[in-house]
Amino acid sequence: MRRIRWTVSLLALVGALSAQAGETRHLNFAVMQKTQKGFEFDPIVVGDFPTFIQSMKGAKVLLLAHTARAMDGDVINMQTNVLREKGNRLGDEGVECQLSFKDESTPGNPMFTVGGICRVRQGDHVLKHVIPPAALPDTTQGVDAWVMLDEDDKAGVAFYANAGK
Amino acid sequence: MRAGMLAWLAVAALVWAAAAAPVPGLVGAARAQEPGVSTDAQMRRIQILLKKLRESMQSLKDLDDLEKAGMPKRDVDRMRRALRQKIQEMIDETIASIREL
Repeated sequence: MRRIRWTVSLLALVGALSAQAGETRHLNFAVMQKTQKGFEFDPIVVGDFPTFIQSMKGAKVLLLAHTARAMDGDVINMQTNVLREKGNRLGDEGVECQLSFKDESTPGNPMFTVGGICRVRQGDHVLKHVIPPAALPDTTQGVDAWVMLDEDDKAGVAFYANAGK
Repeated sequence: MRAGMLAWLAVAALVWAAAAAPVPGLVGAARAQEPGVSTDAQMRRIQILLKKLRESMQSLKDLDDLEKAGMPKRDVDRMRRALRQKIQEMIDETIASIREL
């Protein structure tokens, strides 16, 4: 009887560990820019995607992406550049980001982080913004929220994300 | 460092190849080009791609800032490798487009 109990416990442990390994999540990522003076970005927007967009009444979308399933160590590349020939120069406007997706889960505590670098090109102005690695709200754990990873006060640009299945 | 130099050399070769591409009309029938797209339009597209390629290679240097922001070196190195591979893919695609001219 004791042996059976040990075997069942061992199987449960192996099951839990294997469930952790190779977990995947879709990354939802948004870059927003203020359009109204006095508008402030919320550090966390609780709710689903429509709620998130509704909370952005004083801002516009620069980039919105829902990635394929990502797993630990994946590098995510996003680009929405509009390229235009301008004599010998390259007209280039839009957003490009390289992000690193990490699974830092521990048994019974799934946790995903993302960090990276984004370039926001508008006219002749280029904003290069480093996003330090930050934990993501995981909708599969019942946390329906978008977290602000970082904000560039001067340009009025904010980077939001969450993870989900 | 060596990979970076090789990539720069590849871009230089591509720029030269694009500049030295045959004049439209001289090589006509044997050319496999996209239907409905003129050679001039294709050339312009390639030149824009080349410019973007050069910009992407510059952006490799920006990844150093990530380490200062607290990202572990191994993660930054992985991002650098991924971006280099992406750049290599862009080079391959551009070469293929030039060959089609």
